Amino acid sequence: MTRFLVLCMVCAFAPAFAQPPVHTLKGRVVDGETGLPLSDVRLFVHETEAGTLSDSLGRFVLSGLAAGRHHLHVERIGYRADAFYVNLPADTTGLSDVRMMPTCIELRQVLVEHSLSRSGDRDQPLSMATIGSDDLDRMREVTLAQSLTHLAGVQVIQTGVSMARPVIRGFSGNRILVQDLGMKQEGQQWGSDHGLELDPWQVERMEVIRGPGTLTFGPDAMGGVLHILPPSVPEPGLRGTVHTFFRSANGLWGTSVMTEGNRKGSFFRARFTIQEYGDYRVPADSFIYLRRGLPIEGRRLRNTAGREMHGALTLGHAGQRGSVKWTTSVFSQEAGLFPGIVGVPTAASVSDDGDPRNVGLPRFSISHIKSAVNAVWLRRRGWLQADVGVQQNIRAERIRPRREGYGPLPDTDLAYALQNRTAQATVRWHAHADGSWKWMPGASVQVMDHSREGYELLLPAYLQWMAGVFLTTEYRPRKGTTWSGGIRYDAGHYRSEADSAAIWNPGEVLAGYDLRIPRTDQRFGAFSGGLGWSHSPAEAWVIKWNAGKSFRPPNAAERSINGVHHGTFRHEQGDGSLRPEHGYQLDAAVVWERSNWLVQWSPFASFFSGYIYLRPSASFSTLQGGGQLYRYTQHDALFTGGELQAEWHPADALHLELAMDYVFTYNLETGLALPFSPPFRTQAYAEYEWKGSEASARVRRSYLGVRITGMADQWRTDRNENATPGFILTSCQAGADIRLGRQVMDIRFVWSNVLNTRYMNHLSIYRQINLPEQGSNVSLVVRIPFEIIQTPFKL
Amino acid sequence: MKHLFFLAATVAVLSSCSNKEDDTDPVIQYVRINGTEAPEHDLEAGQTVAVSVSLTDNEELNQVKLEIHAADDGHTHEGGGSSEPSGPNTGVWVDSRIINLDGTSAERSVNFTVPLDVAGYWHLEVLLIDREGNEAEEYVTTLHVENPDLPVVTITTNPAAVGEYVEITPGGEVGISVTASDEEGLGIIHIEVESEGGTVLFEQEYDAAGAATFTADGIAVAFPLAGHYHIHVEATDSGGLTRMAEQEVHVE
Repeated sequence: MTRFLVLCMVCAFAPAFAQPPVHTLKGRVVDGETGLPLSDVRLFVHETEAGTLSDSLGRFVLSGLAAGRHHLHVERIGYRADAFYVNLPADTTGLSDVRMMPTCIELRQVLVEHSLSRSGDRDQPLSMATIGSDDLDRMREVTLAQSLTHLAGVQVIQTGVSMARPVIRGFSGNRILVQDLGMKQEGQQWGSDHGLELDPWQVERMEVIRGPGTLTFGPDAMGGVLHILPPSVPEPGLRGTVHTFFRSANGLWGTSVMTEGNRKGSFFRARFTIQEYGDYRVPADSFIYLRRGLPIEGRRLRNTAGREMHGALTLGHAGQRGSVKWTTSVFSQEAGLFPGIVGVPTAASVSDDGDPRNVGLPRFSISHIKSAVNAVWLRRRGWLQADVGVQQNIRAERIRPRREGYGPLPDTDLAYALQNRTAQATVRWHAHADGSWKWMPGASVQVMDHSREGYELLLPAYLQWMAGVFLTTEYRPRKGTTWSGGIRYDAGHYRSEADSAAIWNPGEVLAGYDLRIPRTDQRFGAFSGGLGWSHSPAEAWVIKWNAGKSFRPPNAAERSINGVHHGTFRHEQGDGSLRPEHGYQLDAAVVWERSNWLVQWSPFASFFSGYIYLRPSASFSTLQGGGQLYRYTQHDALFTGGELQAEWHPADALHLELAMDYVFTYNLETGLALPFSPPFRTQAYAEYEWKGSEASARVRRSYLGVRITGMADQWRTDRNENATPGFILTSCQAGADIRLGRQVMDIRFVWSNVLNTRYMNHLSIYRQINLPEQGSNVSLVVRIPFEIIQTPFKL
Repeated sequence: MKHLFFLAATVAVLSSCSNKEDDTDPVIQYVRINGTEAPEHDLEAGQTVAVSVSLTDNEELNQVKLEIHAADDGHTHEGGGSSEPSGPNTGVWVDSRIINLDGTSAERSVNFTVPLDVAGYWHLEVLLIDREGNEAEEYVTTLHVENPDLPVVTITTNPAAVGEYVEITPGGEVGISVTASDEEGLGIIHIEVESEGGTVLFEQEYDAAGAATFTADGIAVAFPLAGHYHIHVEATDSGGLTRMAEQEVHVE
């Protein structure tokens, strides 16, 4: 299948590698205030990813460019990122100095990739944040999602010991789309509690969109988007990095090795990651599951150890008329399931087994394989972008066999084996600006096939397809004012098979079958749309708003699940008659900024028609140990709130930050809050950075930061949901870039929850079983870059 | 558009505030077993247990669930009940009843029968929900079942257990002695030593051939690896009634 895809893409994009007349673009980059030349400025053509760095005199040479219009990006740390068009051959010699304006505000030092304009955040009507590899290395946590918690408006739902999902403005699960390799990352069909099946080390840059991204990314992006950006095309040569890391909370250690090379535009990139961890430490001596209080011996959760192995390979070529990349990645994880949350646990099943690093029963394994081709073909009036890929997601849970009622003992420990295969293709045409207008029409299609095995019944087999067409546009009537908007139509079909559970009489006599999951056959389709405006009345001010309409069809769990879901500790039941939910969302932002100040206020309000959530059914589960049955239900709901961020650099080396966020949720039919509503949060961060005066200094750059996070009480809860008391956490981070002889290495250190505060996270599923969050935890990351060949090499 | 949206949202919130659904939890007023209310009740095998409950809600009751489950593993409940396991329960007793309710108050009686072949500790758990799904605080009481008809089993070890378990180092050995007695005469005695991961280190079955007492000693089991292990003994009398006993071994 993969080879077929590659063949199709290569044939379709073969013209991209043709050899039309080539041109060279030369120029100089200077500081916009002093006029001094700037070195190490990264310049690259967005469409083809052909790039270069400016030299010590600020000069740059971009060769091998085809005639026509090119979108040139300019980025450098400490300066505001910019982008502009060049016309070749007209601008080959006539390009004047590129002037970059200094800024201490990190947000301004990168460009927004997902948007039509590929411009700075100032021109985007939606609120968003871009995170680079250095930020990620500084904030590395147990999971990728946890690394994002310092962003205003972003929190995480802790869904397992090493699993977490991002929550953006109170939305999570299928309302937050994760885009990787141009494809929607699948893995949520089995319930919104499953973690992101991504190698966190493979992620080097990403954009977090706070608000509806439905127009560009499709229906699942109605609450926000985590857009994993592809790594840049490697510079000519052969080089790599080794990351080695340790975390104290679960004795995690691991190594991730990446190597990449580029020769005459043909490049590769390979990464291999291995990590292993032991049973998780928690600051608690007992927990409650299915209303039973059970002990935690030695403050360790038995059988939560695990091991992971991930790999990824990218092969590609960046030519004069475009680029094509083929990437295959494998995510593999095997870890124990805490026996206290599986089946009906006993005190013996959760007692210390004497080995904190073994993986026994029950346990789960995940195998997520993804293969995608991403191609760009540059034409005279724009460029064509195509993303085509397949992914296979397999999750198996092995649980010691147990009898159901009077039934026989299963002859296998394979309780669940869920297989999901997805194929997806998206094509977009980026038309060059025609006067003040830009246009991007596109289409996407996705087919998903799901099958199941195992002696436990939770989800049926199903088949789903979805297809959408969209048109987005951007209008700049004058400098500083941008209108953007678009319309999209998506349609699809979901069909699941009926599934039954056997009924047994005493003596293992089969009495018949209970139809646990009825057959579902549903077609759906709806329009999404949006209109946004960004205006800068003065250099220091930006005002923007975005109004959007989005929709999301119910996922498989919401339609068809029926059984005790260990991940949420209760009997959940889907409803095949659920209809898609529709959202009407309004976002706004007011920004005031100077070169060393940034203040941003981003309020939002959303109304949802038919919001889908789990509601108590007012009837008991008939399953053993089951309490009240929770059923997926639709009610109209309101989400409102916002973020307030301030960033101040009183001196170049000192970075001060304050961020507050709040989400108010309201179920318009019950008059109560929706479950798992994020509480009010305030974060304060101070960092001092020492920069080495000389490139040869032993310590070239070092920093020390302190973060204080205050979480308010959350007393606005849904029915039967407990209130959560507030807490204050302190964490420290430090790092340094060290030179040992000719070798450079970066050391990053994070000490979270320094005071070992015992607290409950209102968004954590584990709060329901009275398990607090992790105590004091130390993370250490060492990054060692290496260079094998500096110059272009022969393969 | 913006003003319209805010207006619509505000109107929607204000209009629905007055329609807030009932979120007051129902209350279990009492749970009586054979007419008495207590954290623990002594019962005998074969006895009928009459459970009466009194329940109230501010608007409308919906369902009550009474569930009996084993309490021999040391688990506890916030809603009460004690947990003082003196070894594994003998026999299985699992029962569950769901009763539909209506009105703001209800009194119901349910009869359970203690099986003839059980002994040990069980919990009776009472759960209550109202018409909106609000859950009452659970009520739990412990049921202690005595059964003089079952065999009596004793496990003795060398080294002796300190507290709840025997503690040795990897590579160490434990001497095991088992005695069993029954007035009606003993049948099969099954002795097994197993790790928590399911590895069997020792397994032996003896036929007492109707004798009133039985002794197995001189059993020595080596524990080469660290971990937690269990010595299980199952003694069956001539009438088919079975008693189970257990001793935990920690190898560290």
